[in-house]
Amino acid sequence: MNPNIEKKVTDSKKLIKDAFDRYPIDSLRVAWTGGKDSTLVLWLVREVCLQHNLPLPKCFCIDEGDMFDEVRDFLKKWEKEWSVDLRMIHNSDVSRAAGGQLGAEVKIRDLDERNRSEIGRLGYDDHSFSYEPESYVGNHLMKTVTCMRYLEEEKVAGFFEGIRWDEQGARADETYFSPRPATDFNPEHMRINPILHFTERDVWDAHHQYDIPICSLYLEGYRSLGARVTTKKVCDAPAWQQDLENTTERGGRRQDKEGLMAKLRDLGYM
Amino acid sequence: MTLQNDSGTDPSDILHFPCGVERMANGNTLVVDAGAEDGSGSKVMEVTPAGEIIWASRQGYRFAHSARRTPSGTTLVADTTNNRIIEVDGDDNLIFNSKEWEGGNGRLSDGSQLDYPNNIELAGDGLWMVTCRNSNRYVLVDRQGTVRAASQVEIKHPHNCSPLPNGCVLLADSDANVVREVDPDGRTLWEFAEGLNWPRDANRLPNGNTLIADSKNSRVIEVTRDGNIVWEFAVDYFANFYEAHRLDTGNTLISDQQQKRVFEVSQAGDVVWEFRNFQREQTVLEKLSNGFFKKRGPDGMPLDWSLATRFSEGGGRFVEGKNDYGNDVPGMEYDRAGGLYFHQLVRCEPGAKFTFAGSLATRDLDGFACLQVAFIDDLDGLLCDASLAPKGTALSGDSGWMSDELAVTVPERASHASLRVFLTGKGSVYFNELRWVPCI
Repeated sequence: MNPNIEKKVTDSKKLIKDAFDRYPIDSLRVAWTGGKDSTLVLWLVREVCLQHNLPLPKCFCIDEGDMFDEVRDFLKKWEKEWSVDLRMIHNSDVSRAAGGQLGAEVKIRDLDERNRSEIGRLGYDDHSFSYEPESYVGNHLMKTVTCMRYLEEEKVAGFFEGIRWDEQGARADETYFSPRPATDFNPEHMRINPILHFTERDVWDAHHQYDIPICSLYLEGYRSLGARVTTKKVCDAPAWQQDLENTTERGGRRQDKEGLMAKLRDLGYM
Repeated sequence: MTLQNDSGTDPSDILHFPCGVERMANGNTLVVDAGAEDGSGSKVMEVTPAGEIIWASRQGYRFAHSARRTPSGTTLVADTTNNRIIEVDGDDNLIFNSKEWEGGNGRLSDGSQLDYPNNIELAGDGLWMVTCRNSNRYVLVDRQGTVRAASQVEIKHPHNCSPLPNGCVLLADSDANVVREVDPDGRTLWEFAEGLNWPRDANRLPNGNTLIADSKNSRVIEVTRDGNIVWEFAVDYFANFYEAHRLDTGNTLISDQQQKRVFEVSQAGDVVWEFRNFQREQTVLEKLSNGFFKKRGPDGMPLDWSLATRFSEGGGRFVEGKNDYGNDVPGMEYDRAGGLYFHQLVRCEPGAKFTFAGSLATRDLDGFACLQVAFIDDLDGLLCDASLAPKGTALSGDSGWMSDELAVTVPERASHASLRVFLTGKGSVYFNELRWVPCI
């Protein structure tokens, strides 16, 4: 038992209740990927709803075109068990232009106007790109644009997501309520991050302490679930039994940036 | 036909990266050019006081560091990356090559080989003192490769080791940041270390003082036996001075690697002579181009990018790989402890902020690879030591594809930036989607 988890869960629930007090529930959503973090968020939201006799907000899941079958199965199972109103969203204009084939070359002229203007916004000036959901252009069209279109269509005021401070440097400055102003491309909305204060270890402890379901891939050794082709197992041990503190969640190795200077010098680089 | 650039200088005569320099008895200056960033163009040049190149040796040198004109008029060259000492005559005919030692295997009499020879000195009686940085020693050898003496003291990546008339040796013990005088048994008789940062050349002056090229402090100092600095020539930019010699006139001859010049300063510190003919061959682009590597030349190399192997100690090459989706991505392969980088030059204004971003994947890398931004001034000198330039996350092993980015502010004096993927160690790195995005 991790004695800190109860306090962290309580804090998260307070944040969620606060969001329910600020926004009509039907204008809120939960971004549910089937991963451990967003499943914890959905469980927390559901607990608050049950406690206060509120309806569960709708959920959405971005299908970037390369989902694991195990993730789909997990989502289906718990969509039913928890009575979740889940919508899978997908940028079908891009997958159509790629002939549904991952890695295929997509001609920009074959895309709709919104996707074309989004590519222009990236400063990408080639005539084609590869249909790779986690590449720079692919990630933007398949995830960001898909999400923004959904928020526009559904007039979403805000959504809950499962990011954490300890994930990577870029997220270290995130806030629980993270406002996104309107731009030419994005509707104004609020990102609500109720588990920012959880570490990766805390997330697993919470899953085990409260018997929150997990996708079977974590048992096989996957630590972080992304697109199928680009997500690799580091080892075969269940994710929570791995060396969470000394290795990074998304593969590779944690490195001492400062120590490099001495190493560069020793190596005679200059 | 001889190719000429706008200034009228034959491109093969351009001085890219001066290392050794000496003023010869005929009044001309012998300059060793370690070559361009792509590893080409290393040579030895004889320059008149009027700046005319009247002689050059081009023997396929790679990163040559040092040369001496012998009393008979030949020239001895420490051809560093080729791990050899050669001698050429006045017509640049090869008359000696240390690779011929021991029946053609290039071994010295003690069974060793020259490993990164970066200095050669005439030691009298037909002997040469050769400093080998990567084997951390100097050797006194004859023309047949017989080792007459070798350093008996621990030194760390030395540059210039010079014999003294008293039988001792003056060591520029560079990575130890000290200059030492040692006797043949390795006992230290004198040393100076205070404040030094990578001394690469030290010379004993007739008055008993020692002249030191304190490279990363961008200064040349004259130090007494008591350790007092009695003369100093320092500049306010990163010069990385390589070698310095006091001339009979009292002036000092210095090689400046970053501003790509050799020059002479008076006792008062006034520059009284200079030779610089550098013309950049690589284009500086207005914004990053072809960061997704789709545009390739006839040889398959990505357009607008180049591979810099000057510091790669003879290893390293461009390779093609596949990403997780089976699409082609560029990469580099390497197998030793130097470094190489794939880069592009992009113009930038001081004060502007940018993010340099991209995707990298290392494969079986026993070393590391990272994104890097090196800022450069309008004389094509780095603004700081490359090991201090901004770097992204260092990846090693089998990293899988990782996105990385680093935010930078363009410093004062920068006119352009070298946007790099850097690699060191044994293994490979693949990269894609490099972006240089202004922060508004």
